[in-house]
Amino acid sequence: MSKMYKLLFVFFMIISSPIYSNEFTYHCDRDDNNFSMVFDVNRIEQSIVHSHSIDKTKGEVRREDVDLEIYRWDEENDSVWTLIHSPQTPSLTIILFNFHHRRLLLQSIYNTLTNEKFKTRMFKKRSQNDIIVGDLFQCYKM
Amino acid sequence: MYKLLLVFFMVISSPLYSNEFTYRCDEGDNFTMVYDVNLTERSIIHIASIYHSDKTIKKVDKNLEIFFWDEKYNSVWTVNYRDEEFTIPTITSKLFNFELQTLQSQSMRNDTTFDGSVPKNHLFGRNRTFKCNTRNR
Repeated sequence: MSKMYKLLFVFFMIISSPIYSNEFTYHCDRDDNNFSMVFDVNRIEQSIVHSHSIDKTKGEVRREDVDLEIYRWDEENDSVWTLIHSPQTPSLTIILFNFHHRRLLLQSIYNTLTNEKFKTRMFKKRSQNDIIVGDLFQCYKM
Repeated sequence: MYKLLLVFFMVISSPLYSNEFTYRCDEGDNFTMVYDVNLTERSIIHIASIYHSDKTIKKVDKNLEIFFWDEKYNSVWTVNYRDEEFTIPTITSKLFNFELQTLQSQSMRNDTTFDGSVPKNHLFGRNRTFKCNTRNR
């Protein structure tokens, strides 16, 4: 009988581990280790909320609370593609979550050439090469 | 009076005022993409690709998926997801800026190998900038 309880205990340990959990926090550090993003993932609702950003150079934690727009939830490859359009910048950012490899890829196109006034205000330090930006993050589940 | 009328028709038939036009985008001297744009229907069709070194034209006829039609900046963002056999899943996004007559294109790939062996520089595609021109249809 005690063997049965042990087996049951092991079973609950496994299903409550992050690998099997349907709700988890996904913490991602950029390759240069100066910037991190934290997400709340819910597999059942197929939702991802960007909860915080951490700027390590400034020592700042910013609360975001942004519900990401899911473009494709790829269950076969344990990955999710999300899209963010920012009208203020204006830019399109694609974020790819690969839960299997514990990675996040981020790529943005900025519409920097829209008008001179805008360009000087927002992008005076940006060069033509900065119109498209790509970053790789290493992540872990909590 | 007739002269004024003529000027009026000249203006409204110019590419700037037309709701349907062909948008031809060149990447240097080697590669060109041709699109049919309909501002009223908010649609963009990739008609053909031209490879100048081979002197070949490939008919494409693909209706692009519009992500955001930005009227304020006369620009359009499109996305295209591909997951075909023997390739890794890829998303390509394009920014059409009709005001500045440019096209930006980028792509990102998902490493679906078991051991995550795709190198970082293969995950991000080449950033591509095209110079474009508008022609009335």
